[in-house]
Amino acid sequence: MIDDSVTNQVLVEALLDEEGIKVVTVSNATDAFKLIEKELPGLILLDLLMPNVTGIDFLKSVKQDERVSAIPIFIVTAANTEFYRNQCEVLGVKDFFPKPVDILLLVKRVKEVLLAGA
Amino acid sequence: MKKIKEISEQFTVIDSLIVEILNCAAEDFLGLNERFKEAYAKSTSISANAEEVFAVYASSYTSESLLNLKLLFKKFSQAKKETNKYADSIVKSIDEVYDILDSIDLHSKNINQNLLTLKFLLANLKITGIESNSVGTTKEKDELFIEFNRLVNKSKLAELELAKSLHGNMKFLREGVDRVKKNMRNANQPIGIAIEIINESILVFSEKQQDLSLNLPKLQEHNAKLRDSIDSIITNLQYHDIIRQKIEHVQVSHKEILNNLSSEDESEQKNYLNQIAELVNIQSALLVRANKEYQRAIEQIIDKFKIIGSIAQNILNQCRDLKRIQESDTEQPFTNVAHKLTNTTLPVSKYLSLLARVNNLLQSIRHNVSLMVEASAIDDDANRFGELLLKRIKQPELMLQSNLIQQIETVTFDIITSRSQIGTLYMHLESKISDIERLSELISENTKSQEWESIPTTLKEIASNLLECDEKVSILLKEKFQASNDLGDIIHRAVSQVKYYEVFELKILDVIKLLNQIYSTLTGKEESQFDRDDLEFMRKLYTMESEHRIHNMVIKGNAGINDLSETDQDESNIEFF
Repeated sequence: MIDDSVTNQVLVEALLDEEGIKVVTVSNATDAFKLIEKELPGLILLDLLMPNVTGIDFLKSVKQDERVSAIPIFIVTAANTEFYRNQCEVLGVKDFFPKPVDILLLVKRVKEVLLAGA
Repeated sequence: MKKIKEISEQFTVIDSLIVEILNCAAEDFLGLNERFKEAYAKSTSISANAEEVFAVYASSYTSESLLNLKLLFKKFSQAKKETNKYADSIVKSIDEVYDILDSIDLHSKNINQNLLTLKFLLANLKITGIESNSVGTTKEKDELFIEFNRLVNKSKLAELELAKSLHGNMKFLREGVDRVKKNMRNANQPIGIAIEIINESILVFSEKQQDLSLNLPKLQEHNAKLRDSIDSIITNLQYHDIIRQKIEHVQVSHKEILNNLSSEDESEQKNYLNQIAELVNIQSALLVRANKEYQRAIEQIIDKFKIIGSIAQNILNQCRDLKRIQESDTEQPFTNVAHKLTNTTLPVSKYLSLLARVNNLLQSIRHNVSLMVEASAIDDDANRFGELLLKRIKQPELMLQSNLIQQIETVTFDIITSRSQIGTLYMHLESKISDIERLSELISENTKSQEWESIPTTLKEIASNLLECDEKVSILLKEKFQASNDLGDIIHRAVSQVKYYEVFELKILDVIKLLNQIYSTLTGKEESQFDRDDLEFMRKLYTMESEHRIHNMVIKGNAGINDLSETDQDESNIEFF
């Protein structure tokens, strides 16, 4: 999970942990990129509005890297505009969740994607 | 220039104070997140635990167990009815046997009497047969009388034996009937106890099933409310991040304006008043909006935390009611039922053994009576020999008294008739023996049937399920009590850890102070005492005395200022208009 908000990190981690899903949290896109190359997670939850390297920048980098481009990505963001939705769709994200997130739906979709990828 | 620099610095301080307020909100939300994490785990475990309690009860208090209990109830009730029926039938049969033996006894007595009468008649006949001139005939007669007497004596002995056996059996039967009645009565007692226990268990089962069916929808309702509250907390916890991102976005503009104000370049500082106005607007909009959102979110979150706590307690109470925990009992009521069910095998065994005893009794009676019947076979030889003797006595050459001979014939005929009647009675006795045999077989079949054999296993299984169920539920409830206590602590901490309101009050007073200073700087006016907003100052300002002064000033003009006749000297009273 890549989100600069610690409160969101704690929240999502708590809920997915209850479902037995291991969550690794990162607060910025730069650290995130190094981590995913090493860990190859089953799924990435990405916030768009982050300082320095934005979520969109991170998304573009991931999709250009063959090693990690196949990792499914969910966008979890307060930036729920048509502009961002279109950009994300073009960049091939798996799903888009505007904040405040319907957590039960998020958890359900996370489980679906992880099971499909298993 | 210097003025603008000073104002710019003051706005920077205000900005940092606002940031401190927002950071406090961030920390509070982080704390609430952590508490939520804990509360979520506890509340979901309480909810899952409750569902498990219901599942445990549902699996133990099953329709199958209830059906087995009902079948047992039916079986035992049937057994009780049959016991009474057997008792009546047995007593009736034995009484009939007794009556038959009684009749046989009567006929036997008649035979006895008639045999004695024969002896009497023979004795008379002997006397009347005496002839002075017929020695040969006298010898023949003597031999005849001896033979007849011997036959009569033999018959008498046989009758005596028969009577002895008869009386012995009649006594045995009398005692037998009493023992049968006593044993049957005794057999009804344990089976009655077993029926009571089974009945109690059925009631408990039915009550439990009803409890479950009534409480399950309530539990589902509680769980739904729990999920709703959790959803609401999750949604509201996310608002912090949404607000933060919006604030950051606004703060970019805010920083730009501040930078312009702080710039050394005079051309950048033109229209500083407009810029200050813009800054003030942005700051106030930021703070008011953020504050409102945080207030709403924190209020919702705390409210929902309390609801979660309350629902968890309701779920706990519901499960406690289901278990019917009573403070005064050392043992759980359903454990009691389980123990009673296990102990039911004892009265059932006692019942079966008493019936077996009755059966043995019947067998003895049947045996004795059968022996009697065998021994009662009419001595045809005796009858034939008697007929021959009679024929010889009637020979005219013996010249025996004919009327005596006639009487002997009559009495002999009576004896034969009585014997024949006894024979008929023995035939009736045989059919009674068959009845007793049949009853004995019925009892034997009943007590040895596979249904009785499987009863202890069935009872043990049901009891074992109940005990296991109670134990599992006790453990689950213990876990739940602990979780509920923990949840209470978590919620209490969540509420007490929110510092936003205190920090807001502290910082906002500083912000207001700075804004007032900026105003003074811009206008050149001194800060009036009424612009000071610290609470301590306000306390001193607004006392009863000062209020009366103001009041008088308004009513009486300046003349009222020194009129303190109605004032209260206690300055600790605060009164606000």
